[in-house]
Amino acid sequence: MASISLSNVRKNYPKFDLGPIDLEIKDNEFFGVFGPPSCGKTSILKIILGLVSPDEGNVFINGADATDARANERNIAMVFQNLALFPHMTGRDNILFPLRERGVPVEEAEKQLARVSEVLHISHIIDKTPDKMSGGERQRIALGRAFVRDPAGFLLDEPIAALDARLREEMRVELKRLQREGNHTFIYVSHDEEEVLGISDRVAVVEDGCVAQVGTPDEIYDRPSSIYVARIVGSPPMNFIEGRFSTATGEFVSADSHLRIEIAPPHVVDNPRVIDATIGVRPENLAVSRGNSDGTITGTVLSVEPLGSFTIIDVAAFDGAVIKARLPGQITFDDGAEIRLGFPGSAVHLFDADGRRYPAAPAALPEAE
Amino acid sequence: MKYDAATSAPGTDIVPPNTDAPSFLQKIARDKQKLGVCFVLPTILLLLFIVVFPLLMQIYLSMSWWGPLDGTPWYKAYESFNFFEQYLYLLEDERFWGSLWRTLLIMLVCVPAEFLLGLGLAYLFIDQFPGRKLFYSILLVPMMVVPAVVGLMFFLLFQGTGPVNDMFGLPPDFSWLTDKDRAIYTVMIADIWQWTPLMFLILLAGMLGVPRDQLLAAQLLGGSNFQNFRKIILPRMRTVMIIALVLRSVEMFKIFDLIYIMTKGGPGVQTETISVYIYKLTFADLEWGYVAAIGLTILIALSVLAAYGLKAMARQTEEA
Amino acid sequence: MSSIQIRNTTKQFGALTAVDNLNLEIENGEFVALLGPSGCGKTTTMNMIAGMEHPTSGQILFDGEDLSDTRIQDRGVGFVFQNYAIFTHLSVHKNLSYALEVTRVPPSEIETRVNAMARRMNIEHRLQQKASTLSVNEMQKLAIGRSAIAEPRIFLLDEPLSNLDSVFRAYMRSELKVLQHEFKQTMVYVTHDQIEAMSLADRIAVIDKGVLQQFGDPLEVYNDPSNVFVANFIGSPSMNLIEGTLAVSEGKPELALGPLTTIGLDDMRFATLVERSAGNRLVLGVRPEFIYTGAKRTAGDIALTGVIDVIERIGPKKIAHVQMGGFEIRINSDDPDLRPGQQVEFCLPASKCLLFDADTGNRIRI
Repeated sequence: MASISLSNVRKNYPKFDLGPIDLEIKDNEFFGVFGPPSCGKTSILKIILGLVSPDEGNVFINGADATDARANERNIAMVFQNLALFPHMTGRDNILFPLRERGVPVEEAEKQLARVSEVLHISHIIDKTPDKMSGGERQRIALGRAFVRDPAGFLLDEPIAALDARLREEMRVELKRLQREGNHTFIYVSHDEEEVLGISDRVAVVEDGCVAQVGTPDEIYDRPSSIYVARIVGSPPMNFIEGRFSTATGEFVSADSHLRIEIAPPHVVDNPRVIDATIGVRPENLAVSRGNSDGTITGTVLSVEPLGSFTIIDVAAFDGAVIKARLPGQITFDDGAEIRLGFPGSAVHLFDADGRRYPAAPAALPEAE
Repeated sequence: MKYDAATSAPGTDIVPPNTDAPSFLQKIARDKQKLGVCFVLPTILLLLFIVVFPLLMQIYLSMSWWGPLDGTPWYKAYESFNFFEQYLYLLEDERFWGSLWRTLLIMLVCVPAEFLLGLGLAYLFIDQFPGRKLFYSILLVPMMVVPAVVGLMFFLLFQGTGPVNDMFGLPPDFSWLTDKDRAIYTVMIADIWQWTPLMFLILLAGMLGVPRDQLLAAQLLGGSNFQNFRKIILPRMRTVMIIALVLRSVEMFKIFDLIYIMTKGGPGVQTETISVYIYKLTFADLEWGYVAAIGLTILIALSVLAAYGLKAMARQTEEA
Repeated sequence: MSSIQIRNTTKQFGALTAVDNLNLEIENGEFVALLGPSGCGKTTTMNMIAGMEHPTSGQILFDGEDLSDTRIQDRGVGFVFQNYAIFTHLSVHKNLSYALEVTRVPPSEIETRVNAMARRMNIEHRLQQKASTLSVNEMQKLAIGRSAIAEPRIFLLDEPLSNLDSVFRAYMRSELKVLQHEFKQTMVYVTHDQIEAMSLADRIAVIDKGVLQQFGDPLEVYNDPSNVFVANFIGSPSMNLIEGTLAVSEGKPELALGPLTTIGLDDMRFATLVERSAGNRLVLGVRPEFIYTGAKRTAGDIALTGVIDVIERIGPKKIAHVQMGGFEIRINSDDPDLRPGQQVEFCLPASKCLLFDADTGNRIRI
C-alpha cells in the first residue's frame, strides 16, 4: 500500500552507470522490472530498498522524500531469489523473526502469523525446517516472512527463478492473486519475459542502466519503443529486416529489394524523404501465404519445431537471413521445402536507423494485432 | 533531541548538555571510515608492540656481547656495545656455516621427498574407494604426533639392537644415530615420516579443488590419466603447490625437537642444524647477544625466501 | 556415429534407485532428448552412457557392442557439461586442440582442424585468448566445438542451454539443430525444459523417478500421452487435469468433482465408461488451447461455467485462469473481452478430452 517513485536517479559504479531513471509506481500496482541479466535491475532495486543511496535524484515513498531514509525506515519488504531463509529455524520462527526483531508482543505476533498463514495456505508446513520443505513451500515461507511485517511495498527479486518450470507457472499466478487480494504494491524483478509480462500491470524494460520503456504488457508487446525492447520481448524473438522506408508513400523496401510492403497509410509530412529503417515482424504474424498478403517472404524451410499448440519454423529467406514463423496448430513440413510466408502491413513494427520506433508518436501507427 | 527550556524545572542547577552541537565522538561517528579506524586502533597498537618490541630488542642485543651472566640487566647492553662485530664473527664461524649447510641439506632432501610422496598419495585419494576415510585418517596420524615423541620413536627404532637392525639383519654395532655419515639420513627419514602427511593434506585439498567436471571432460576428450594430470591438474594447483613448498621450507629451518631427542646434534656436530646450534649457544654458552645476531640473519634469509615464494604465487594468481 | 542400446539398465546409489530397468533404443544419427524433472534419473542415464557411472545391472551398448570394460577415454563420447567445464587455465586454442593433442594427431593437422572448428563456432577471433576471458555464450560454443572436434561416436549434452540468457538460448536452440544436421551425429540431450525437448529432439524419452514414462516423437508425446505425468509435464500452459469420481446417471457416464459439481460425459466416445465400476477415480485432461468460450459447437462437448480469476499474457497468447468449484481451469483464448472477475461460459471439446485412471495415472484409451 504505497506509491514509490524515482526521480532523475543516477548512480555511477566503477564499470557501469545507472540512470537517469524516472519511475512512477502506483499504489496497489503489480509493477514488473524486466531486462537481461546485469542490465541494472538489481541496482534499481537496491536504491528503492535503501541499501544504496543514489548519487543524484530522489526516491519518494507515498509522496514523501525518502532518499536519505535508511533501509529499515522505509518499510519495504524484500523477497530474495535465494529466499535467504534461516535453515536452522522452523517456518514459524522464520516468519516471526522480523516481528521478534522489532520487539512486537507475542500475542500480536501470533495474530499476524495466523493472518499470514491463512493467506498463504502454509499452516500445515509452518513447523517444518526449510530443508524438509519443497521448493514451493519454501517460497511461501519466504513470502510469509515478508508479509508478516505488513510493509508498504514488496520487492521481489526473481523470487521464483529457482523453482522448476511447472511450479513457476503456478507460483506466478499465485503471486498475482496474493497481490490483488491484499491490495499490495509489488515490484517484481525478473529476466524471464514470460513471467514479468504475464502478470504485471505495468512493466519497465531496462537497458544498460536506463529505462527503455514503461507500459502495460500489451503496450510493450504490441508497440515496443525500440529494437532493443522488441528483441528481448517475445519468444521466439521478432524477425528484423533492414531496408529503406519512404515517409511519403509509406512503403518499405528491404535492402536487397526482395520485399516491398506498404506499412502505414501515406501521411502528410513536411519534407517527404526516404530513411534507413528496419522493420520487425513477430513470428506469430507470419502465415503461410496464398498470395494476397501485403508482404511476402519466400524461402526454404530449415527446421520445424513442433511445440504442440503451435509450430515454429525456421525459414532461410532471400538474403540468407533466418526468419522464424510461429504457426498455430501442428503442421509438418519437409526440411528444404519451398515456402511463402505472408504478413499484413498492420503487423509491421518500423524502426529508424537509431533503432527507435518510427514514427515516435505511439498512436501514429495502427495497433499491431 | 532538542533541549526545551520549558521542560526544565525552575530552580534546578543542572544545565542539560546542548545536544545540538555534536560531540567529538558523534563527529567521528559521522564519518564511517574514521570510526572504523578508531575501533581497530587499540588492537593495532597492541599488535605493533608485541611484534615490533621483541624485534627492536633483538636488533639492540645483536650489537653487543651481552649475556645473562654479565650482571647487568638487558637494557644496559650498551655497556658492551660493539656494533657489527658479531656479524663479522658470524661470517667466520664455521660451526654456523656448517649448521646452516646441514639445515639446507635436510631441506633440499626432505621437502622434495615429502612433496612428491604427498602428491602421489593425494592423487590416489581423489577418487572414492572403499576404506578411503580410514586410510585417510591413518595417513594423517604422524602429523598429529608430538615431534618430541616422534624423535623418541625413531631413537628407539634405530638403536643398535633396535627393530630396524633386527629386521634387516644388521649387527648391533651397525649404528645409525652415532655414525657420522648415517645420522643425518636417519633424521631425514624421521622428518619425512612425520611431515609427508601435511604435504598430502595440503596437496589433496588443492587437487580436490580442481573442478571434477574438468577432469571428466579431459577424460572424455580422450586424455590418458597421466596427460590429464600433467595438463589439467598440475597447472590448476600451482598456487597450492607453492604454498606447500614455502611452508615446509620455512618450517625446516626450525627443525629441532626431532634432532635434539634423536642425536642432540651429534655425533660431534654431524646433525647440528641452525636451531640446535642456537639452542646450544643459548643454554650452554649463554652467548645471548650472538644468538640475537644469528636469529636476525636467519630471519632476513627466511623473509627473502618467503617473499620470493609469495611473489611467484601472486604472479600465478594474476594469470589465473 | 553409433546407435545406442540401453537394455534393462538399473542404477542404484545405496538404497536409492536412480534409474529403474530402463530400456531405450537410440538409432544412428538420431537426436533424442531425455526429459524429466530434476532428480528423475536422466543425468544418471546420461552419465552411464558416457561411462562415468556404471550400471548396477543391465547393459549399455554402442552399435550392439558392449562397452562396460572400455575406459572413458576410448568410448568416443563427446560430452557438453552443463557448466561447460572449460579448461579456464588454457587458451581457447589449447581447449579446442586438447582432444587432438592427447591422441597424438600431427601438429599441422591439429592446426587445420582447430582453425576450421573455431571458424565454424564463430570464436576464431578469440583463439589465442585465455578461455577464462570468454563470455558464457562463447564458452558454450567452445564446449561444443571442443567435443565435436574429435568426431565422437555419440554426442551427449547435459542441459547445455540452461545458463544462457533467453535471446541467446533461442539462437542456440536453432544452432544446435543445424549442428546436429551438419555433424550427423547421434545426440542425446538431457533437459528439464519440455519446450527445448519438443523443439530439438527427433524423439523424447520422458523419465520420472527413474522410470521411463513414454518414448516417442514430440507430437506423439504431446497428443497422445501415456499417463498423467507425461500429460502434465509436456505442454505450456499445462494440460487441465480434472479429477473426479465416475458415476452413471440415466445410462450416461458422469464425473463427480465434488458434492455439487458434476460433469456429464455425454459424447459417444465416453459410452464405454459405463462398463467400468462406478466410484472409479478418473482424471479428465484437456489442453488449454482446445477449450473455447461461448456456446457448444458439438452436442457432445462439455459446457461449464466459472469465474475468471487471473489473466496472464504470454507472448501472443492470453491465458485465463478460471475458478470452477474449487478447480482451476486454464483457457488459452483469443477473446479480447475476457476480464478478471467475469463469469464465463466455456466448453471442453469431447474429441480432445483424454482420460486417465487417477490411482495408477495410466491413460484410459476409449
